[in-house]
Amino acid sequence: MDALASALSTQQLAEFLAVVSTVADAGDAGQVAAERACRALDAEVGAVVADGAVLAAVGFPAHRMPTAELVEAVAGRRTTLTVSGLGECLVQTAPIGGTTSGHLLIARSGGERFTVDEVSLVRGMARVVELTVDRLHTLEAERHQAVENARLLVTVQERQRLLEQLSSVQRAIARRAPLQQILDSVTAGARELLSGGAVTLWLRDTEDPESLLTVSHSDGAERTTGNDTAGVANLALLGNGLAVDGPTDAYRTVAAPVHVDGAAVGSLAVSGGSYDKRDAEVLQAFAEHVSLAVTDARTLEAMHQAFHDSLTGLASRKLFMDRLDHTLLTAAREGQRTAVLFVDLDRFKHVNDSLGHAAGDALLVEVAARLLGCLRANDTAARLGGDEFAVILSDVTEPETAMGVAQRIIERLRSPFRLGGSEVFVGASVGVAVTEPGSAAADELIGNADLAMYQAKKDGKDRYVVFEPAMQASQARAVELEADLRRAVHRNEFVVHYQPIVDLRTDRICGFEALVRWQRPDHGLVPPLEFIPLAEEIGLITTIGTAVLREACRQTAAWNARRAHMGDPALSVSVNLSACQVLEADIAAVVAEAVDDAGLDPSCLILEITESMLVTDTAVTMGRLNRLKALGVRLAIDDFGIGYSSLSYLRHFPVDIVKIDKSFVDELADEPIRGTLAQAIVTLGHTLDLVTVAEGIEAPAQSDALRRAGCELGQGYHFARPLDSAAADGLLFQPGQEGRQLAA
Amino acid sequence: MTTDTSLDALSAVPPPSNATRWLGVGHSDLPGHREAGADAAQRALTGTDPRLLVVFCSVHRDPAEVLAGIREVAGDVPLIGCSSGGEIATAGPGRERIVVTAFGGTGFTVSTTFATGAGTRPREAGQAVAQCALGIVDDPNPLLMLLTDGIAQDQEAIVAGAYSVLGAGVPLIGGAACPDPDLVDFADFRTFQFYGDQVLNDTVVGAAITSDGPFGIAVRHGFRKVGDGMIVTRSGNGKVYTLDDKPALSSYLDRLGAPTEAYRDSAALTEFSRTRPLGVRRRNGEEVRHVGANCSFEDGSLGSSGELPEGGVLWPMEGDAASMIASAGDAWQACLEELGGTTPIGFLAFDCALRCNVLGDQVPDEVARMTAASGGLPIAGFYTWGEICRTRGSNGFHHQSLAVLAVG
Repeated sequence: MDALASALSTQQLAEFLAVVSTVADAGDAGQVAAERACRALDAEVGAVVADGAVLAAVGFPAHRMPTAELVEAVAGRRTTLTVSGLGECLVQTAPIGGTTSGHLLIARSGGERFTVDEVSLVRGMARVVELTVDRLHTLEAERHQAVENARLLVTVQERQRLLEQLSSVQRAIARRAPLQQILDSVTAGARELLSGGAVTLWLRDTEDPESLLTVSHSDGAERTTGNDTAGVANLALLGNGLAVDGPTDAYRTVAAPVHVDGAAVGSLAVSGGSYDKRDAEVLQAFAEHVSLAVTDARTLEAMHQAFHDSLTGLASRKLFMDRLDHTLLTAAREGQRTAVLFVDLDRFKHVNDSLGHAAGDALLVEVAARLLGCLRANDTAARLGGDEFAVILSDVTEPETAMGVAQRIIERLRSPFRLGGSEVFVGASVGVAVTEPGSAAADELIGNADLAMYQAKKDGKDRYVVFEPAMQASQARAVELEADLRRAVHRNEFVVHYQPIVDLRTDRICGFEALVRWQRPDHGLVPPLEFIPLAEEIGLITTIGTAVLREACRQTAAWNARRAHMGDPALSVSVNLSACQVLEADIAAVVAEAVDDAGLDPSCLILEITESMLVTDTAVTMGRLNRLKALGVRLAIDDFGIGYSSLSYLRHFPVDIVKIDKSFVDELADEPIRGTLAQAIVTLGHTLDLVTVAEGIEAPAQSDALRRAGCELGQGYHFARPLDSAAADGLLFQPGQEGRQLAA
Repeated sequence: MTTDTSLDALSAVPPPSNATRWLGVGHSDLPGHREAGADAAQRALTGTDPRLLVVFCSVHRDPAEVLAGIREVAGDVPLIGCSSGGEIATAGPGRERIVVTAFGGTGFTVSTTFATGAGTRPREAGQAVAQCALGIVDDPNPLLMLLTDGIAQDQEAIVAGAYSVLGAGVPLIGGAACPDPDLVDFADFRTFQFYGDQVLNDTVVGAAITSDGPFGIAVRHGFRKVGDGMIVTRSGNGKVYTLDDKPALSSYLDRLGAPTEAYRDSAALTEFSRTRPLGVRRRNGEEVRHVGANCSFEDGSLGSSGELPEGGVLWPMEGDAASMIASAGDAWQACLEELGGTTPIGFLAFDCALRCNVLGDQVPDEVARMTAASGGLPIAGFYTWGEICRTRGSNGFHHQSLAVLAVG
């Protein structure tokens, strides 16, 4: 719905009423009405047609009135009129009741269809013409019928009062008075003009459209009405027309429908008297003003919703863009600078995950309030979505001004938030972009602020960063990396390296950890840390992970076939599974297929998962892991000890192996507490009947300490770096290498 | 004051011999009234078979002498014209100048007329003048040019009268004759109109023109709204008494941050309000109305040109030199687009005199924008007391705007 058009219709009906109601002669009223209606609707043609004759018209040459076409149009037999010099004009008509009993016709060039608001406006204007002409006819009749002077005077005064009442209601609508106040003025006004009958306004309950709610009653607090009134009101609504009923002629109920966007949504009813046709018209006039008021109120609400974030009340993205365009235009004209700040909360997801969405919402509301507290009245703050906010600062004299605001925002958001009785620290990262004086490019400014915000995140969060052109180059590199990574999947540029896992008691190789590397053209071998996070972000991790799994299974099965021939025990292979892979519904099928296709004994495959996976979506994870276990593969917890280390996870999940994080091994020899922790993990593993594997062993002393602590297996540079398959092959099978004691 | 007419002389180079239409513009700043009229006409008549002269004559000149000078040169070529508050020619703006535009060649047909009673029977005057164009309503390129007495209060009724006779098929363009724009007191205002060999008052003069080429017309104002809209809660007799139920005059002045003198001194108020009109909301944008001289400190009412009925919404508006100049560029572009690719042969500009108050010493810059947009083609225009341009809908009278006619 076009909000401006709706509000404009209200205003223009008020203007039309003000002008037409002052016309002194019934003959002139039609001409004035046709001209004013044209003007209100930017139309070229206006006419009042009755009984097959054109009473008044504008828009045609004086000697070329197309009477037949106009009559056909008001009869609904044509929808366009041909106007000399303009061509086809679309037609809109509305019936004029009362003594005139004709039609108001409007026609407009340009092919633009009449909106629902405009149709309502034409209908309202027709009603004003009807009332005015009736009033004028009455006045005329008064002059000729002296005997009826007294009675006519009353009628004239009533018409005048009606016009005054309607005018007053329209002014209230135009002034955007509270809706209830407007509706109460309608029922009170109708009661006054309808001989004191009880007037009730019913509207459909928006939550239960089967029910009608009494929203206003002319007797104020006395809001109960009889079932007979409700029944007639319902009839008017369902029949979308005037409804009349009542026990006697002296006690009738009359109801007229109320419309919004052309559909009946309620009715206005009067009861307790004997009502004639004229009274019904008065009631209809008031009902149409209720339609205007309700439409206007809903339009306002829709407009507010469209332009504001419903949770925080801040500007929406749409309004933000609109204001930014405006601000930049003004700045371009006045030679001013404009700044845009992108504000992204640092730990919002944590709050949402740990305290729930309600707490997350409460936090966003408080963030919005603090944000506004940092700004001037004419600055704009918007919520762009999620935990992302943006600010427009107009007329910024120096970039330092924007930096000051950014610093203030960071400090305000750094203070704790009280949510559900506990204090939460969130913090924010802010990107700042400032235009040169007078320059104007909204998209570029927003893009720059966004880049600066990402830089602030990269630099460690809880800070602001001002955009610099070099960031675009950095962004370009990131974009290039993503494109290359996508190509790499298609070109199969990934290779698997193998790091030996050694039995610490014998220093002999008992298996490998499979590690992915990217053979990036022109860049050499790229380690996983430089591309795995991006692969996770852009959804390629599952494809890459599956390829690694299949290759590791194939290679290990080949080695084991040769070892079996030589009478050596089978090797195990450990393959890392990402969280995304674990949550794939078909992960068990993917693993089963990899093992089957390779001909690998499932017990030789160890799938490594991280602790954090066990705390996310626990029930789903548990189901997936049980199905993997059912294949006969083993499960290992990778990097144990650095995250959510919890005994309960180890107890509940079907885990076979714990891998002690390198950080514990690093300081094993020279830091007693860390050493104690590593020993505790080994002990814990034994208690739960789990095999322990130490990662990152780089020195003989570490290997010795772990062996003494009872740790069964280990890996690290002390034994061997990750090797490509040929080197691993050589290590396993070259003459003299067989059964090599790696650390010896 | 400039006496350099070299640019006009250039623009008045005769059109190719096979052309059926030509348009010449001449201006003169010679001190003698009769001599200046003759000089301007001479410069405008650059081709054979002149069909119409349109004269914009400084309000400070002796109109009878100027007209005599023109007719000495042009004979009885049909002529309409009016007083101007400043003049525009291809060479730039001027004061106390005569500008003559000549439409010539067999490609034009012209019929002129005039009607009296612009002030007392405005609608009838508009209707009477429009009669001269009734014969051209079926022509592919019709146009009615109207020059009205700017002192007449209800200019809208004049245009509405013309529209009621011609309907939507004939575009309307023109302006209201300007009194001395430096005068403040309405009682001192004087204007004049030309028709043939007559100098008239209280009239509407019109020329119905058809052409082998298209006409393009456009209007722009360049003002912007200040703050939220205000509801007209009481009005009548050309005055707004209350806005949002508060005294209208002080609401208007408060919103615009007016100086203290504007609240008590009528000269200061006039000075202030001349560059800050009212905007009335319309379906295709805002309609600009200037603040009338009939404001009252006693009852706190705000005078307005045209009616502002109760229930309407209006805004105080403001503009600056840059927005005025930009609007000239916009108007030119819009009227050129109306030509649908046909190369124009000249332009007529009807530019509100009050815009000069906003433009200040940048009046020449606005005309420079027009000249630049015209690519060296002839331009004639004058500073008006109201502008006429009906393109869409039925309303065609404008305030503090620039209306442009491109002759294709």
